[in-house]
Amino acid sequence: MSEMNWLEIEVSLQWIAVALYIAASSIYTYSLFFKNGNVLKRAEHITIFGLVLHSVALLLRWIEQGHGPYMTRYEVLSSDAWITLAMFLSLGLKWEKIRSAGVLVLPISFLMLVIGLFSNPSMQNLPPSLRSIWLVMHVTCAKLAAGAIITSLGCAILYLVKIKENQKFFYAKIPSPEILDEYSYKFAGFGFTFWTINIAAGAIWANQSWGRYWGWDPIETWSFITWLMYGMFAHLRLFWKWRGKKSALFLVVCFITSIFTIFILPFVANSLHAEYFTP
Amino acid sequence: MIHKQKRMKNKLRTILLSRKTALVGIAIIAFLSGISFVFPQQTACTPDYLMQWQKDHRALASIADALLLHSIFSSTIFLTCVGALFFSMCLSTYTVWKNQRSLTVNNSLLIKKKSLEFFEFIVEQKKGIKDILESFQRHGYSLKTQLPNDKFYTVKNEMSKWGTVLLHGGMLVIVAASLFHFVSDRRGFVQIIEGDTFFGAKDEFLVHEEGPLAKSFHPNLAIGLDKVAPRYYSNAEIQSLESGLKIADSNEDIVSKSVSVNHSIEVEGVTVYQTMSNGYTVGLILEKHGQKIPTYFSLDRPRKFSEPFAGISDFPTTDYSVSMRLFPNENKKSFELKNPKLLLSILKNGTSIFNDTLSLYEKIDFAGNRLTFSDIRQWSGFIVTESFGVSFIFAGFGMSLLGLFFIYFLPVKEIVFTIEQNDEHLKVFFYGYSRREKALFAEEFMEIMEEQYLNYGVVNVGNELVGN
Repeated sequence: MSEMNWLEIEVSLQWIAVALYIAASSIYTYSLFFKNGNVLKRAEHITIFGLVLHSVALLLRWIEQGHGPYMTRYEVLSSDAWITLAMFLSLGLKWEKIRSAGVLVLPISFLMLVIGLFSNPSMQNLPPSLRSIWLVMHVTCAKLAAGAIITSLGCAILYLVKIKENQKFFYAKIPSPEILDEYSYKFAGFGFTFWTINIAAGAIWANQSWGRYWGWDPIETWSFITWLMYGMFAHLRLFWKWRGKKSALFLVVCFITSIFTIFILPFVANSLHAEYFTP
Repeated sequence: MIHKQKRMKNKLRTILLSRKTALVGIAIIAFLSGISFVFPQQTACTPDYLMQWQKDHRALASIADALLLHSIFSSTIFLTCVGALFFSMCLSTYTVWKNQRSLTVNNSLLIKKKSLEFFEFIVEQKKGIKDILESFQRHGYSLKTQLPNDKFYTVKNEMSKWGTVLLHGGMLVIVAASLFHFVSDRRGFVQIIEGDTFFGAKDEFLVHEEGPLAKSFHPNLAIGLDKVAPRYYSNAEIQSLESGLKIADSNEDIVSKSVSVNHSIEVEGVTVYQTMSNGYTVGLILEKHGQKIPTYFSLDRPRKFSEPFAGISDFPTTDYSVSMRLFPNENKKSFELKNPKLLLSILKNGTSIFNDTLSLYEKIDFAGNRLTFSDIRQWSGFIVTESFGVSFIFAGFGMSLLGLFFIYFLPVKEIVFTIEQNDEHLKVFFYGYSRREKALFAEEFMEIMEEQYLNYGVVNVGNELVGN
């Protein structure tokens, strides 16, 4: 099969996945605003179906081009959306109460996927410097960090909405504000951990490739700033007892910093990383 | 005097252990790092780019020059913040370590009753402590100590109490090793032509960097380049790049090694990295007044097979400069050598005096001189370093990650229960505590308590939220 045919199949599958994610998002929203918890399962099933198609699309691309989806904007955004949703669904199995955060996690994910789909989906060759197990770890952990950070943001925003609405308007089955607050902290902690692995693996890879573990490249620098922000969050929470609203708002700031680092900077900065994230 | 010194020491200790110091230090470092986004850094951009930026942003450039903002990461303020945080972390890590070591159940927060929940159960004699402990084990709590007065201390993820020490200890190792690496690092970039040897002299490096406290870098090795083997994708992007080297060490023992991108080699503490840069070197011989001047010009690889390897350079010892465009393959569909053609332009004082296309070994005459296209070989770029401390940095990362894993994935949770025996029943009191996840732990605690309730029946429940 020619490359064009593979691409057509793959892109079509991703668009179907987008449609399913939009449907699931609508159901999540409906369940929360109309206080109907029974439809949450349906939303999850639709998300899983979308995720399966999304997985097949990514897998086809992986097989066709012989490397993981981390080279172009299209691949980066699509795989980030995939990992966020896969992570959210898996974590939902262990911590059922975070399921309601789907009302934010789903739209953020399908938005990432749609932005990716509107950029150039053509396949790119893998340069030799990107052929390293440390790069795979670096990229995977960046994606896991993004997934955890988005879930954390979902919980933080639900917290902010819940305390504002004082439980009158919003579906009562959303966990209590205290629990949402702690989930947002917990997932921010997961994100912080994966972000650290991402930095460490990147440093090892850079050292292996160029004999320099750190070069103060703009993306490295902002990655470090993001890491410091989450470090500050941990300190504020533990020592200054920042809980609730202050904690949630600070998490929103951390999220904006991380989004700037992961998704915006590679496309605007003159960076070694940006070289590979071609639009 | 001694008293004053002691007071100063205590004051310094108080400042370093202050939570504000840690937070302000982190905030300043984050802010200074952010500044590097506005002002291009000497470490991260080429001198040409920096000069151009300074021309384009004159007002900003004068501020940057005055405040040394182009080298923010080696500036005094940045290094002072790092130093202050380092000592603050040293002291706080030591304090936490000391506290954790001396922490016993008797002085733990639990026994001081700063616990989260308090429950009281009456348990029938036949269902004793063993059943309660088994139920706790199912939830991951194991009996740590049985104290006098029938106090039982159970804990989940006990190892994780070292999380903070590991995280901060690892960061200390990273900072210390990075600083050591920064001051002692020695490196350089060198281009070697096939068949040539690099002897480690300073002037052979195209780029040469030494840390502020590093000795002069001239590796005691001779590196000969035997063969460059690049492979390209069909669109001319580089697929792999490998070089065969012959290295003579300080004892003049010669070893053959191959180096490729991401697979460096190390000989006597010197590491050689294959870079992604390669190309062709053109050899020209200029005959002037009967004197032969052989010169080699290294040309950079183009992005497409249809484009030439190109370069402009002065011709040494003459007032000519040459502009070269080389097509190594006559079909322009590959970079492999096949009847190479050199489009040569000779300039004098910026004016073109000769233009022609030359084949290999072809000779041309211009302005009373004779020029021969005498040689064509591949060149390859290498980074040569002598660095110390990098493995410690990675070990520090390992420690920090283990600490983070303990803190966020396996938080410590503690439950203590005490037993009072009366004639008919055992009376059991439960207390629980978790430092970081109080609300989530409260849920887990309630779940365990519900189990106890179903198993034994509850007579009295006190639900005092004593902790935060």
